[in-house]
This record gives sequence, structure tokens and C-alpha cells, in this order.
Amino acid sequence: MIEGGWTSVAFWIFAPLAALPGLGILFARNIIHAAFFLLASLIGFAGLYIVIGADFLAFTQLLVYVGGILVLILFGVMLTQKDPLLVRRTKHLTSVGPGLVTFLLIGGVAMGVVWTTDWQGEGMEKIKAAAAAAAAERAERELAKADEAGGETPAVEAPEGAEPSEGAEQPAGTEPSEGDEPGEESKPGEKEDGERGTTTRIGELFMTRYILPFEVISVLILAALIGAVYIARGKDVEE
Amino acid sequence: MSPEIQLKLFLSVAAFTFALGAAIIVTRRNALGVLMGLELVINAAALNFVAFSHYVAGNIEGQVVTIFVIMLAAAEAAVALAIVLNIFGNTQTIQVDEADTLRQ
Repeated sequence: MIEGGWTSVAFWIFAPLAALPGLGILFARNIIHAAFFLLASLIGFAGLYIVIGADFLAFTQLLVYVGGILVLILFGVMLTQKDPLLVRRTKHLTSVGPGLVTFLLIGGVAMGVVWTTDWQGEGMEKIKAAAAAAAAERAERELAKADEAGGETPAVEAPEGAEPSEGAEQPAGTEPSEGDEPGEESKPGEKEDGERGTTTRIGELFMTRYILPFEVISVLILAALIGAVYIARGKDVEE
Repeated sequence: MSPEIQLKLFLSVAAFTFALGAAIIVTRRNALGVLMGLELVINAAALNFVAFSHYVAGNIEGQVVTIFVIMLAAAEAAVALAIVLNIFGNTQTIQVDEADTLRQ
């Protein structure tokens, strides 16, 4: 996705924006400042999603996190502030040791794993092969559907290029297979059917393969909603 | 940059943010600060889902998983804030080392 050019620049803008505000949250003395550092970090993550080609996800991130969760947190901060003029100062010195140990331990192990693992190795080839096979199967179904609908060939031509053998080192090498689609430059991650945006395909996945988790999570959100209202307002009901 | 380096860069951002979020959870004494650290951890994991599904599998199913993660984070934040407000109503504090009861 970030094949040089402006996307690469965008990565180097958004990656620090996503990662570094965490330091602000860690060291901010005022919890409101921490909330605004969190805002910067969430925007950085949304930018990273755009860099990687997940546009729908980026806007979902902005809508739900920035528009929902962050506002909720700010509400919580302001509702639990005893005296705005007398901001509770957090004593960091007592817990700087555990924090440092946690950061170095988890960060060191995770960074070591990230940079020493051969992500394009044999196991990943198997995963890729399985994914490509699934894509090909889907493409066949698509082909059958398209034949019924009147032959929309581009949708099925793309997955042919997604064979497991060539996807490993050079996703860019698969681009020519859908080079006849001028609307959107072919991206390695969207070789299945690059002419449709991610929104369409995410919606299709929600309504087909992920229909059960989708329904379950809607029940969960309803339960969380009712539970949150009950917990937050329970005392008033008793009185 | 080769795709593998790109993948590792994304994973590095996620790893750094995850470690930072964990440190925030350990360090901050304000319950809402802990909640912010939790959001960072969740975001880091979600970014890993997207990066892996993009660079390794080459599909968008990781994005679907990430949307589920975002939904769960929203539900979790709502419940957590309800609990925090309840604790504040009971004990007049949300410092996690002072508030130690859910009822009066």
C-alpha cells in the first residue's frame, strides 16, 4: 500500500501521530490534557487506516472513537471532577518503576518479535495460499452470479492475479491483472476486486460470512447500553 | 520499501502503542486515565489485524474484525464510564487506589 510517493509520506506523518501522544497521556498531569492527547492518537490511527487502504474503517474509527468514546470519556472526566480549580495531581513518582518495567518488557518483547519473525515465511505462505484459494472460490461464485446478471468480467478477473505463488514478495506484481480499471489504482490488498470500495465488500462480509457475530454483537451492544444506564442511574431509582 | 518492511513498520507502531498503553494502565491512578490506556491497547491490536490481513492474507477480513473490535470498545467504554460514575457517586473519588467499593 505504501509504495513510495505520498502514501509513504502519509505513513511517516500518521505513525508518530498515532504512537507518540501516548507519551502525553502517560505524563499529562491534567486528565483533560490526556483526553486531548488521546484524540490526537485516535486521529493518527485513522490516518494509518487510510494509508493501508481501509477507508471505511478510518471513518468508522473517527465516528465511533472520536465522536463517541472520546466524548464519553470527556463527559466522564468533567462529571467526576470535584473542583475544576483544584485538579487532582497524579503522583507519578510512586508508579514510575512499574510503568517503566511494563513498557520496556512488553515493548521490547513485541518489537523483538516483530523484527525477527519472517512474516513472509512458510507459515505465512500457507495462510496466503488459503486466503487466495478462498478468494478464488468466492470469485467463482461471483462469476456465476455475474453470468446470471449479465457478465461483469472485471470482478472475476482480479482474483486470478491473487494466486498464492506470486503474492509474497511483490504484491505490486499482481497489479497488471486489473490494470484496465482506471477508477482506482490497484492496491496489493485489494486484488480480489479492486474496482469496488472496501465499504461494499465489508457490508457483504457482514451480511454473509460474519452474519452471526454481527447479530451477536448487536445483542451485546444492547445489553451494554441497558447495563450502562442501569449502573449509572441505579442509585437514583432507589432513592 | 518492500511489503515486509511496511508490515513491520505497522506492527512496530502497534507494538509501541500497545506497550505505552500498558504502561499507562499500570501508571495512571485516575480510572479514566486507565481507560485511555485501554483504548490505546485496543487500537494497537486492531491495527495489527488490519496490517496482517492486508499484507499477509491480502484481503479485507481483518477490517471486519477491527470493526467488531471498535464496537466492543464502544460497549466497553459505555459500561466502564457507568461504573466510574457510580463509583464517584459512592466514594467521591475515581483514583483507582482509593476507590475500593462498588456500594455504599
